Amino acid sequence: MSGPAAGYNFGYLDEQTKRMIRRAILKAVAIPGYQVPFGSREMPLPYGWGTGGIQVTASIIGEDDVLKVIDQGSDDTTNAINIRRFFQRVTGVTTTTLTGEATIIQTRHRIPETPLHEGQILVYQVPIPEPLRWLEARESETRRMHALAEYGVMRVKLYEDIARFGHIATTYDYPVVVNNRYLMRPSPIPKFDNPKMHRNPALQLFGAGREKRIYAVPPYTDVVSLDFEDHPFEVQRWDATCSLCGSADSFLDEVIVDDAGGRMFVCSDSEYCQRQREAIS
Amino acid sequence: MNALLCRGLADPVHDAGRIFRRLLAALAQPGRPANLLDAFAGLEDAPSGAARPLAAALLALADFETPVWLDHDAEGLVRSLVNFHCGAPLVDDPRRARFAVVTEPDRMPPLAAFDWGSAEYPDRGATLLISVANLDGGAPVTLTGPGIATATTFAPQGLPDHFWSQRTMMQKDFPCGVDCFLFDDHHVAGLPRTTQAREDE
Repeated sequence: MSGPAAGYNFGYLDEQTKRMIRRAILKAVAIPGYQVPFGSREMPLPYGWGTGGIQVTASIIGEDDVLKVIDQGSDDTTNAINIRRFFQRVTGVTTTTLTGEATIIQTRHRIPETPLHEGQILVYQVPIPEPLRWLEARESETRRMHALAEYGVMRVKLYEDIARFGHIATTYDYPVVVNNRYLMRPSPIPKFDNPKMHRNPALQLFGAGREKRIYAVPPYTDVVSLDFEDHPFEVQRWDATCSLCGSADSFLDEVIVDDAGGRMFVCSDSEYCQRQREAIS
Repeated sequence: MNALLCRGLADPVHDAGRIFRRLLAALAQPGRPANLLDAFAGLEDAPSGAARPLAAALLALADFETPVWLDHDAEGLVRSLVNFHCGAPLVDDPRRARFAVVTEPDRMPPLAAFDWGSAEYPDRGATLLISVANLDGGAPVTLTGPGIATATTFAPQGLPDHFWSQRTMMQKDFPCGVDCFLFDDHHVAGLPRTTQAREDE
């Protein structure tokens, strides 16, 4: 891999910005699930393309790191390729698609199927960090609600789902409580991935660039999806298996293959699918 | 002259990055010391009042945005480091400090003397950088909480007994509180406000 591009500091951000973000990350780890405000910088791509995750990654990455970037589980989509290329240019670090070999994994909306291990850092790109935002628009009020751990309104929202649809209709960005204290948005991961956050050995960092918030889940921390005794939390299940690798336990994407209603289901995690197929052949 | 000005980090960008990652690992896995000495070069003539790893952590984290408080004995020694290398404002009142450097834990102010943040902004709680004789070999405490799989034994030397009881009191005010890094001559250990400590019999 070539060295970092001339004219840029290592990791693109200047050192003062990195220090500011690093201090925010440390406080985020110290208060699991609490959203730490930070001075989000203008990045060379628009808000909504992962600027929060990129700033977190840029502040933690070092020369010895091995970086993996995924977008909806895939290493090969536009967002993932561009962010990976960005970090190759501004840091010169090694990149990989292998989940097990990466030290930092930046992700948009999925947690890899391969279990993470101690020492790895998972960086989430977060669009809206505040779980209560669609229920209470005022930041001053949601901040007070977090201070008092007053989360009844979210329970009511889930209850209204049940009253209207007969089940909790939230399928992604499903609210969780971290370390028995803070209500947290896990970013728009499918609720299929929620159980993976619970007591995960890896450190999980969340960056929201436009909303200027960083939060974290330290390793081995309780992450509990909200539910009711008579409506326990459940993840999605499929009748189908992956058409490429045959996996029955990974998150499947439905792909339309023709204009006659033909469809197939494939793993959303492209690296996992690839390795499954190699194991079969 | 050494006491007035010491050398900073040999490679400010990458050394600071490595130091931060060790601090992050220490805070994410409380009570598990991480080696800090092999994360950087420089600071050879760092002020002797504080451990070299502590000086390195301060250089990696503090700047003009973060008022720093020094306990009496660190004053004069670390002042050049803080003033010259970090450019951080020094404050006399511990309550105004983002970072507080404690080189004599026996004589440190009560934890309540520092800023614990507010219920709305608990992240404004101070970070204490405490220099201890050794991160091992002292009276053991059992740590539990986020970052710890089940429980871990931690036995730093040189912390006053009331440190642990004060922390327990502080935790009643969670999410408010202070977070600590403990340093000896080689290592750093993290002690976020969430870590529960039980003194072993």
